[in-house]
Amino acid sequence: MVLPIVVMVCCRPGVVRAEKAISEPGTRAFFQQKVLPLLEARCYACHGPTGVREEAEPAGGLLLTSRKAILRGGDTGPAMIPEDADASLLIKAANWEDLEMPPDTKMPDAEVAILARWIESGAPWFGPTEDIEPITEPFPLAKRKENHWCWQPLAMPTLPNATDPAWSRNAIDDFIAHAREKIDLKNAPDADRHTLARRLYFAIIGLPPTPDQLDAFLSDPRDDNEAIAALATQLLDSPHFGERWGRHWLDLVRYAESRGHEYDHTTPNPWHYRDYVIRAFNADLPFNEFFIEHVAGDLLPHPRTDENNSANESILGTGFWYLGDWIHSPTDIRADEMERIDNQIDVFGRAFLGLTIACARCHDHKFDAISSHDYYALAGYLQSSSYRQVRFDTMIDNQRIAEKIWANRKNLFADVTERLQADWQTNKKRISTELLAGLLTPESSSDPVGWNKILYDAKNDPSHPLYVIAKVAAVPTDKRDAYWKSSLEKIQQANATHLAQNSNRFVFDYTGAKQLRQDGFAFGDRPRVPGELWIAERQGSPQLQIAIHPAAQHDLRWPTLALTRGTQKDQGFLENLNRPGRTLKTDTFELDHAVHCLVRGTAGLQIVVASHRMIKGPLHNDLVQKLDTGADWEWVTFKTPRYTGERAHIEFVPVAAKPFELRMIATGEEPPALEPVGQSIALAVNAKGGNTFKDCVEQYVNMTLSGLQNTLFGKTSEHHNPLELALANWAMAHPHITENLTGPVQSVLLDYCDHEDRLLEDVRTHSRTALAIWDGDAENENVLIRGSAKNPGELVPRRNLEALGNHSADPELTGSGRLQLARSLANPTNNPLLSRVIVNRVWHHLFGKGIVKTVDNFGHLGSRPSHPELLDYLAIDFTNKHWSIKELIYKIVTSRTFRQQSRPSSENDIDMDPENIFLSHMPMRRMEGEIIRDAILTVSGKLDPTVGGRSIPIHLTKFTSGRGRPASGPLDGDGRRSIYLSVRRNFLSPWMLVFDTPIPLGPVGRRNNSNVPAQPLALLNDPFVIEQAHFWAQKAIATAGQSPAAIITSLYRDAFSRPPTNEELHAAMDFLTTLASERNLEETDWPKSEELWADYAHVLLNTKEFIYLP
Amino acid sequence: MLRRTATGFGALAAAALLAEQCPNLSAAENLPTPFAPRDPHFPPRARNIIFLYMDGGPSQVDSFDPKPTLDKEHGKPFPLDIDKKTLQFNNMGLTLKSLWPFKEHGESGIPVSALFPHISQHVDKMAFVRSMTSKFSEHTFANYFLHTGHGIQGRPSTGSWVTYALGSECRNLPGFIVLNGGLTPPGGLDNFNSGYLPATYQASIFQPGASPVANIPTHSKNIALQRHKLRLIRELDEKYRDQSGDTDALEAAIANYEMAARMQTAVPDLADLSGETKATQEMYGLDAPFANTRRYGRICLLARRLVERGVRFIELTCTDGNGDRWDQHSGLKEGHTKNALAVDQPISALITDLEARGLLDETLILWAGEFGRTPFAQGTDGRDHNPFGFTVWMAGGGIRGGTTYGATDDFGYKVVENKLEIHDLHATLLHLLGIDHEKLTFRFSGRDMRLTDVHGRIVNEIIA
Repeated sequence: MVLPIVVMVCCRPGVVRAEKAISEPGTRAFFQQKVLPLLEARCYACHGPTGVREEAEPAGGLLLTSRKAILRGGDTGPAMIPEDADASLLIKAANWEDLEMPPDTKMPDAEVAILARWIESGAPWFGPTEDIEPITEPFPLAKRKENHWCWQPLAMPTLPNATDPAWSRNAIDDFIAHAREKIDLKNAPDADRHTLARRLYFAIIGLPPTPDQLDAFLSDPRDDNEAIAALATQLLDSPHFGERWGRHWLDLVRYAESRGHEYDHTTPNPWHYRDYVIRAFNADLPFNEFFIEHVAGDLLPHPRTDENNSANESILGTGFWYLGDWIHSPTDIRADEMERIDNQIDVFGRAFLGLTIACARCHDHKFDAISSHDYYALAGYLQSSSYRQVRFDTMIDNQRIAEKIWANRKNLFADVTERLQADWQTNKKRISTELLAGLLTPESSSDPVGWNKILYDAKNDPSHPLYVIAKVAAVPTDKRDAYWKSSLEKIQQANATHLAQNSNRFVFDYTGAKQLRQDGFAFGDRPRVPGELWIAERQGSPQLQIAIHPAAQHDLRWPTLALTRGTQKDQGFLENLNRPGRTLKTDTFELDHAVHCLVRGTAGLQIVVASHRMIKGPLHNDLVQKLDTGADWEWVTFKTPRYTGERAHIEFVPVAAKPFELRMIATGEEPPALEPVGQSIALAVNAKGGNTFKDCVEQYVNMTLSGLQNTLFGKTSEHHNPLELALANWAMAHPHITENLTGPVQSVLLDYCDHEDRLLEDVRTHSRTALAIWDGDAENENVLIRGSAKNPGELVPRRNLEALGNHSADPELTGSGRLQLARSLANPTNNPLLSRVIVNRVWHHLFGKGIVKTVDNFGHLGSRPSHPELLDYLAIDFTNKHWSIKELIYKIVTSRTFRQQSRPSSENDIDMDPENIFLSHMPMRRMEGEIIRDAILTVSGKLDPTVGGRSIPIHLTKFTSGRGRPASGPLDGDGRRSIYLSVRRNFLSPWMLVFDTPIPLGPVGRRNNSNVPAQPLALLNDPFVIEQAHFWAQKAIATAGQSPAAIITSLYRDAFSRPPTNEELHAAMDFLTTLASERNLEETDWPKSEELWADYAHVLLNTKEFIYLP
Repeated sequence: MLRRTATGFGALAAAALLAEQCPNLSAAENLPTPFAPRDPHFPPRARNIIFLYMDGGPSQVDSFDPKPTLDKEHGKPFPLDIDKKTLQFNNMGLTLKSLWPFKEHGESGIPVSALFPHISQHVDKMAFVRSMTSKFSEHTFANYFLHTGHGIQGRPSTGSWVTYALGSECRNLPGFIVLNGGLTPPGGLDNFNSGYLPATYQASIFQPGASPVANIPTHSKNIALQRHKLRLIRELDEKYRDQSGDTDALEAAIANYEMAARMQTAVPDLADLSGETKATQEMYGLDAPFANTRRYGRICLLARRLVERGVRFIELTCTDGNGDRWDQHSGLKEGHTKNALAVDQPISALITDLEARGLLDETLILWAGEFGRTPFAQGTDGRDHNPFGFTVWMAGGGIRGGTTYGATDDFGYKVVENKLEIHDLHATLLHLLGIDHEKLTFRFSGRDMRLTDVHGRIVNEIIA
């Protein structure tokens, strides 16, 4: 360490040389007396040598302790460029541009000037140097993986020997008994059937048994084993199973129906996802498929369909990506995007894999085998995909029709081409003759009037292929040759200027058989290829046309689509675009001042910058636009200076029944020049030589014929010259020129159109929509240093987590590669976590505690499994049995372990294992908020058992206020199960929140279980509970007859699935007697008093037995 | 968000655990209480905090950070580089001078604008931090950041952290109370939530008016009926507990019922201001001509009553109807005038009253918005959001009065001296309460989380 000497040197006035020498920036004196002291005073606390700086590692990886170190720089790159102070980060930071250093107080300008002068002088270093590379060990991913249990492959354990074969029912019991006996714990006796009935009903369907259901189980003559098995099977088949277990799942995907934040905007149609989950659980969809559908249900070649109709079921799973909270008008649109993606990765990582991947956003994971590269490799998949509302109802049916039509058209054009080829040589001569006549001497043509109109129109329309020649034809015959020459000179000059000005970047087009990215079928099966035929319509008749440029073209024959009533639209500026099922998407590109679209026709569009969709003002409104160029190709410009450097794509939405074509996108400040086709043709003609007007006309004719001939016979795109095609297309549109060619196919076209119309009648124009992902072009994400979008590092190719098999997206892929990612992760050989995590969740829901207690975190900071062999046994058994959740539940609930009573066999068991980790008895649990509410509605007789559908608005009180407050819903939620109550982020059900229903921001695998007096207050005083107590009393009076004992018994059976004890009957009678006497009621009048029984019923709803499950 | 706080009594209920022991309630007495007072890390300078939250972002250059340069440059194009990515509107106007004259006050001679004629009398007890910054320029993110130290939804509010750390000395009210002046800030009641901390520590939102908490008034026709019900419930529950294995959980749940019952008297007692003298009521502006002064005066007076009862963390939100809170994108003159009129006299009274009662020394008052405003106009008569430099002030427990700290540039746009972040503010608040902000942690999502994340420095310069 040399530093102290330097400090001494610069502090000793005797060493100071003449002032002149000091002021020379390149000198030793200047450095030692001006520069170094500054660095020491201002920078070295964080970027100084070891021992001087406060932290072990230099901040941001930057050392300012040698010239080399400064040149190497830190996280944000080299800190200086010698001799260029302005461009040096050190100076920018000291000036507080972008980076602000030192962070507290800005350095005085004079001090910054010293550093700047030193850099300008070449930054010679005359001090002690410390060049030690910042200590950055390579990330020990492999070691981490090796040392932590969760990454280890699934291994089938040896089944322990059952020590008490009579007790054990299945392998679960063997594992549990084995572990328990090791520490000398006894099992608890079996619970009675009353208790078991409640336990099974609540665990599997989340509702209490009705008295009839209870009796059926109690009176089942089979032994407990068989009776329990039968009941479990019956309950697993109930449609309410999916509601109970679907709600567990919704906790993990932060299910909500609004976007939170300032105005709590509505998320459109989220309930289709909720119902998808319920149906998936009811159908026992194998969990690996459930997972694949979530990640990439949009990409499955054969999606599942709803059993009752042809709606696309698989695609609904992808809605989970977009259930998060969103904001409108983020000032930093890119930072906002990274927050959204972070939430998506967090949900994906914790819900499916039990991994806190999101911790690796700013740096490699502090504890787990997850690198920052892993994080951004996953982020790339999301960058390569985008949000949409998908027409899940009708997309499969309509796709079938579209594909049929596309195949038919292909056949039609093969047939038509063949017919057109038949007489080509004869027709070619006829066309040639007519063209020559028309252009040179219209009066000698077959249609002088027609030709006069053509020439008149052409000379006034620069986009007309004949523009130049028509203008020439309009001058007196003797002046035509000279006029041609002068016209061409002007065009050549103008072109030279255009070319010089052209500084655009062309970022997207459709050359080279590029795929269309469209949602729906409104743009046909592919972009138009130059030289291909298509059918337009002209005065009610089909009109053959020739495609000239590669372009996406709105298929006007495809019907305009609409949404079924009640389908919610995207909010704000997107609301009127009518995007679903009719949107065209470009690839992603980088913005630069403005976007220029070469288009023809009418469309709405969104420039999707950094995947931002909540366009509601005040910012970003101009990202939603309209364009209308009429019949002409134009470069339409949208200025985007705010977004220069951001990534974007554009989504175009055609206007109903109006043409729209997209050819190209460019960026840059000014639009590219559009070369009018008429001038380009003239230039081409001129280039072929010929001095006279007549020569030129002959060239025009040759080009036209060549275009026609290549259309009919040309095989590849090299054959096609757009100028020739433009002429050919023009000729094709004029019957008097091409009638002999096209006339014979007219009836074929008419027949075909009739046939196509009949097919189109079946297109389902009205559909509901749901949240879904939409694949885009392959895009990778940069590592963002310290998580900041302002500080991009290396680009990371899309791939799976390195510790889970490292599957990479195929670089040849044109899409995201999500499906391959999902399949790789669903393979239990690559990934032991998918099965372990879900098996553990199921266990958690059944026993109130997971084998791994931290159900959402299997990483280093999570808990270790209490029964690791059991966990692997269950996981392997699960994957072997088609990932069936129902079989897994069945296996657990028919175990002897699940059948134990909640009271341990001895106090010793509690002392030995106070947390009941070894399950010597069944844990007692308080039920979830939704289940308490559902139970209240069940006993009151007011539960509406309808499965699925739109959400019921939440009941709000005056205590509920805030921006975006929705209209209040009915007090009783229309009697629907709690899963159907709307979940608005800023207006969650106050009643249920008291009982710990989750806040939908991230995955909640394990709910809080609080015990606060808010709960008694809600049950004692909330009008919902009071009202239901009255309904329940009415029901009991009506069904149980006149005897108070019978009414009490009826209430007990409803509430607790058992009759009252004598003691409880007495207590009830005492209570009723007291109340009745205060109200002067004779005992014979009791059954008539709803009020009396409602008060008693209210008491029962407030007992612990009602909300606790032993 | 409204949620639990909509019912608003989570913490309130827990606090009742501390209520006087009732001879007939054996179960309640020996339960572990989440609100039991806990020792700080070191001797505190303040016992309670009153956070006067100035929703919307008050303008620093019109209040506490005078900039003569603005007068000179008024009406000219703004000369400094602007980071347009922080503007909420694409509508930047010309340099705009302060609409209110500044005057020096007190012995310290600290200048305050004419917006605050009452508060300015207390400058010698106040420390002005003129170098506060935020990372966010949207309300919602900035609100979350100011309240929770994170610009995202779902993190614990400062009040939750403080009650988690210290419990409550209050015997019959919650430890963290938000007195709602009428405006719920952008981001909703999530600004006051307990996030990943136990629900016990979330704020109880007290609505203005005589019935501030939901489900407190009993729906039973009379007290006797309620008593009958509670007796039967307890009888049935105790039997159930005796049969079941898990007596602890059930016992705690049973105890809740007794507490819930007692709470039904605690809240109305607090809200009853009839015992306050006329002079006190007038000082707080309860008879002021402007309705919002009366409203804010009432919650300031309630804040003092809460401090007297030992409530740990009290936050006051703004009144509505003053324009869009302090968020004057246009109509700066009228909006700021009304906002200041609503809070000036009541806050001044609160300081005076606390001091007179000897409570100011142990009560830290914090006045802060989520960001400041631009020194250039938005349009012609408004100001846009500015997270780069704004003023917050503190007074009372542990604060060195008559201090200013930090500075913005000549225009009041960006901090150039002693730049602070919200984390530093939080670190300092915790420090004054005797808490080491680096030691106050909670394990969540695989990390030991802190209010100050991995940041925070204590601003010793404003501590007495």
